[in-house]
Amino acid sequence: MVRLTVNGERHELDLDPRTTLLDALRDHLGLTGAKKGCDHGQCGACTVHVDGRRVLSCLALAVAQQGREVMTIEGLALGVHLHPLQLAFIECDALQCGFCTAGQIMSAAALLGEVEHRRELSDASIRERMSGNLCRCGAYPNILAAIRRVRT
Amino acid sequence: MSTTSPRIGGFADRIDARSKVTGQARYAADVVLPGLAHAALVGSTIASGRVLGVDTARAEQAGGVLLVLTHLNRGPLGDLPNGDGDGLTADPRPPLADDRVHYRGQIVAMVVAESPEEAAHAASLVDVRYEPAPFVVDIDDADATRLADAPRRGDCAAALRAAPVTLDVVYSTPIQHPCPLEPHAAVAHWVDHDLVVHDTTQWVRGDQAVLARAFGLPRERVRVHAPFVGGSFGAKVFTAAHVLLAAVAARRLQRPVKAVLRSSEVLTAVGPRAATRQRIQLAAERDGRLLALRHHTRSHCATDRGVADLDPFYEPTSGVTRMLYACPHYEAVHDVVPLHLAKPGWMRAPGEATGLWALEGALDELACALHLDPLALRLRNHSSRDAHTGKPHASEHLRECYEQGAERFGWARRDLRPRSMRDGDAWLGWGMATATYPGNRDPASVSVRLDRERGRIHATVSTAGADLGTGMYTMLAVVVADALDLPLEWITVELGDTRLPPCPVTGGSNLTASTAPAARAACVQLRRRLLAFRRAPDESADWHELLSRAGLDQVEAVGTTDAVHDDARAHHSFGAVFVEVRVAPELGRIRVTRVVGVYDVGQVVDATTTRSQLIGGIVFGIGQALLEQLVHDPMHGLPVHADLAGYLLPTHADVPEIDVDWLEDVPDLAFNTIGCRGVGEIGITGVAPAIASAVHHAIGVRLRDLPLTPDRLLAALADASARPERAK
Amino acid sequence: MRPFTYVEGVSVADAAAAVHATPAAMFLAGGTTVVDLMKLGVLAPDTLVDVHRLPLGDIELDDRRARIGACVRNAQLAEHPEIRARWPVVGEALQSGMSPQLRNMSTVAGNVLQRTRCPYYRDPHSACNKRVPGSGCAARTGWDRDAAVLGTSPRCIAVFPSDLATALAILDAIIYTRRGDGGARRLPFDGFHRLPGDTPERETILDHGELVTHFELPDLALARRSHYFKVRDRASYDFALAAAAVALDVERGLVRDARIALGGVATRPWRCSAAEQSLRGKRAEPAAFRAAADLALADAVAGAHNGFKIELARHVITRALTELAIRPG
Repeated sequence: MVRLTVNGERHELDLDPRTTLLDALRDHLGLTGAKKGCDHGQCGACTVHVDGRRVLSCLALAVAQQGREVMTIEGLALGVHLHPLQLAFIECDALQCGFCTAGQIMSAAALLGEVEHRRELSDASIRERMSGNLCRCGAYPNILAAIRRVRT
Repeated sequence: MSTTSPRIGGFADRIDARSKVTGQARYAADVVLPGLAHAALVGSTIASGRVLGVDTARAEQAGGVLLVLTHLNRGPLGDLPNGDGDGLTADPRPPLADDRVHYRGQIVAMVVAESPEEAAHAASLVDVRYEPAPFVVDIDDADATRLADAPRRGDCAAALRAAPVTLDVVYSTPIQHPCPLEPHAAVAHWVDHDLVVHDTTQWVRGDQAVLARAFGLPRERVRVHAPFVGGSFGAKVFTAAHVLLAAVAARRLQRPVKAVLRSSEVLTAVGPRAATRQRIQLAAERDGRLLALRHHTRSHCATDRGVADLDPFYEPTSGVTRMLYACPHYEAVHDVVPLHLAKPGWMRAPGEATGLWALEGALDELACALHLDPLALRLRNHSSRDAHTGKPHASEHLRECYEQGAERFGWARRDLRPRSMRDGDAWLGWGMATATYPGNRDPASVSVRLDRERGRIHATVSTAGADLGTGMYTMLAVVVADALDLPLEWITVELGDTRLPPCPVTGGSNLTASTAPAARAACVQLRRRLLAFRRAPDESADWHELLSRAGLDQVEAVGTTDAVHDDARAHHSFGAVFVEVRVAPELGRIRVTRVVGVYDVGQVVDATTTRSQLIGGIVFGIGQALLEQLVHDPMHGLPVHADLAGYLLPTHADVPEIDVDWLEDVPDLAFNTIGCRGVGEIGITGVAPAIASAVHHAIGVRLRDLPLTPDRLLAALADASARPERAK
Repeated sequence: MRPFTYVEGVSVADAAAAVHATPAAMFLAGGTTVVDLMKLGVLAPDTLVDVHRLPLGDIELDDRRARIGACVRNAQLAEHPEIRARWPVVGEALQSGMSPQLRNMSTVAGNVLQRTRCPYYRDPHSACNKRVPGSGCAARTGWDRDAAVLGTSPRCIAVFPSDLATALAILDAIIYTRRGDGGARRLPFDGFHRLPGDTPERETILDHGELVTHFELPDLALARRSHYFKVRDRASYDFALAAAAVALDVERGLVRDARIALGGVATRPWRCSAAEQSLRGKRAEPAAFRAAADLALADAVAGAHNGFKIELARHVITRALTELAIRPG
């Protein structure tokens, strides 16, 4: 049995040791917000938080995450109240097909924590810090605008 | 949120955005059904030859394995509707049709198991023995066949001989891939002998037609769902092999089966944009007026022409070169080169994105040769009609795009000379190009239903077409909100389901022009029906009241659009794109630092999603220009780096500030009742040549082969003949 | 992915012994290399011994050195203020590689032990001596645009991809290990990675079951003036086409000491000792840097498509040293 804590809830799952955190979330817990794009750590669509840090769930074995706090896009909003980034993504149209969006938002949410104490955060710095999240639709300028909106 | 109704042309929030930012939008691979089994594919490891035998014993004995399909046990599939407009398969023949291998990565077996982990492992245990045959995967290394279609006007050869100025250059593009971030996925299951498929498709009805033929069913017994599609850009038009095989396996096992491609499989087995080699010959007067244009394209196609010996699919590069500029003498010839690769397909602006790379690049060279401003050269050759058919454009405002784009960019300050702008140890350069894409429209039906619901009205808009991220949901909601004066929150849009009113493939930037007028037509019918229940012509009763007076809980109308049949006028969108690059020549480094694009796309329906589509197209163009190429090892036939660490898509850091705008009040009312043309593709057009022109302006080096990678830039610099004169 | 047994390591000695005892066992730390390659079928361990919870996750500093646990996350190392101040090349190298997510997952030891990105290594059906000894090298006759120009052998031209390792190569780093039989070793970084030679499958001098436990960076005056410069196709999230880690000790315009290592162009972290030597006593100017760069690439051998890397690496060294020389402080 693998014990996982996801979005504050504890789960005991009967998992194959080969099961990645991404597959455990999607196939075993019904949390399909995190997406399987490349499945090799090359696109960022599967980004979730583990113990508050952004990671790629496709390269993390579920069995190795026991005792850690996992947070997915489904756990980001407080009930019906969306996270400021989720609102900003809507307002700035920071998405098109939506497939990378959960990863972008989880990555951006972690980024804001990583730079909390910095007074200045340049556009170039945001772009660099978000470069692990590919968006084939090319919503990048709007994603940048959404992150800036939450920062200020 | 506002409760006022949005108007056509205004900025609405994307109505499906909330479901996407919360992770609730369900894509095909998210579908979980009771008893779901999982498939994994086995791809050929040779590029050409025959399968001598498949040993499935080890795979079948592996844990959890339910079924191994090969060409020996796949069972019959009906003839597929290949080559006609009613559905298309990715390969020219059904999957696992026989023992022949036409490209590396072609599916030769599929394993189905209880879990995805078990399926993937068992797939690695399938032992396929091959008899390899010679193959060729290099477009420069194979014989070509000339296509019969060779448009011409005037006498190109004579004009080229006699002209005062001529130019003869070859531009190339590599194999590039639409590479949507969502890999292709299908969940197939059979419900009382009916087939239900959740698919990643641009065309639920195409899928339906293919599957119905394959399984010998009437169309209505096949249902295809695609409410959300994670990007496509041309990659999901065809019904892919794994969809058919998932349905075969689901029927065999009497269980739902999910097949999801790995990204390496998407890159190898889903048709890319063909490689091209394009020779452009120009003849001009000394003032820059074009006299002749000859466009000779080589592009690759599949070696396999399929069971019905189909015509090869080719990248239609000359569609744009024949129509764009005034030029009395024109000729295009196209050679296709069969290669042992997956059949090429459509990728965003097929033909335009490649054809303009060559034509706009050559025009920039002509401008340099004549010491003309590149924009002045375009204006000199501007045509207010389709230069080939002679039909006048119904609505054409390209000059205003040039003018406004130049103004926003600051083009007037440009020094003609290369190496005229330095910033630290980098050179800056400015380039521009024309953008264009045809107005396409296809037959579509949209239903609009009004329901009385808890004291208020609710509208439901339905059509079978899919929203690939394009903004279809929002666009249709805006049309209905505008026509019926409803707030967006009172409108639901249903898409991506074969049970909904018929809609064409989401492709060729056609869906807005096809469905928006249909939605409006449905609203007009509803208005007419309900307004009959007013007591006086000026009475301001709302829809809820009128519906209740009519004694109805619900009223529905279906609007339709037909295909374009305009013998008198041409319909095209246009634009002008301006680019600034920063080049560090000794590091081979080119970065785009600024883009301005101004477009004439007719009447914009929803400004928010239009802006996003245009920006997204430009980002696609940056990838096309600087990064993207799918290389095949000519010795081994291997697609090299067929993953997202090797097929390089632009990252956040590759994309600068992008300033897009469009002309207001330029509806193309001869095209449809709203005057709109699609915006999905025009954004990519012109971007790559504008970037290459900017590189030339920066450092005086002409690059004619995409993508403009560091190795290419360094090689061009090292080439003595390309070595630029140093700026004084 | 082949089925395997997952074992959580309870102690360093125990984990090393567990892998040592099982021929097809491997250590698992961040997973960003191992899980990736297991999915591709390139690695197929039957046992994974997870070491990421072992007490190897701390960075200890004093005046003489930094002691960095093998399981310190790359992000943690990259952001450490004192590491950034005393060994800036380390943070710069880390920031130029991977993505924030990967830096959060992957460990310092995993970074230094990461596998090549050679496409023929990553494709289990291609000939590759590194993956299957004796099977040949498809890269030599195939697409070698990204392959190495330094340190190659007839059997292998695969680039070693780690940015961090390139930085460590100029810092006199020491690697500490625990062996499966209970012994321990102290290994100079220089010499830790092997040239491919006839045995490209052996990438380091570690034995089976030998676990890296710590890295030591001795305090080095010139490391305070060190720099990493990298050229890649993409603006971010991409492996190096060529990269240089450099350090300079300059007094009154003259180079007293210099360090140079190349990444992205060689089969292992590539220290350029002759180039370093040539700079001593020279004026810290581009002309001297260019001459040193020429020396660094003197033995480079190109294949069909990677010749540009030689010229590029020269410019990268020159650029890195020039930027460093004009850096204030």
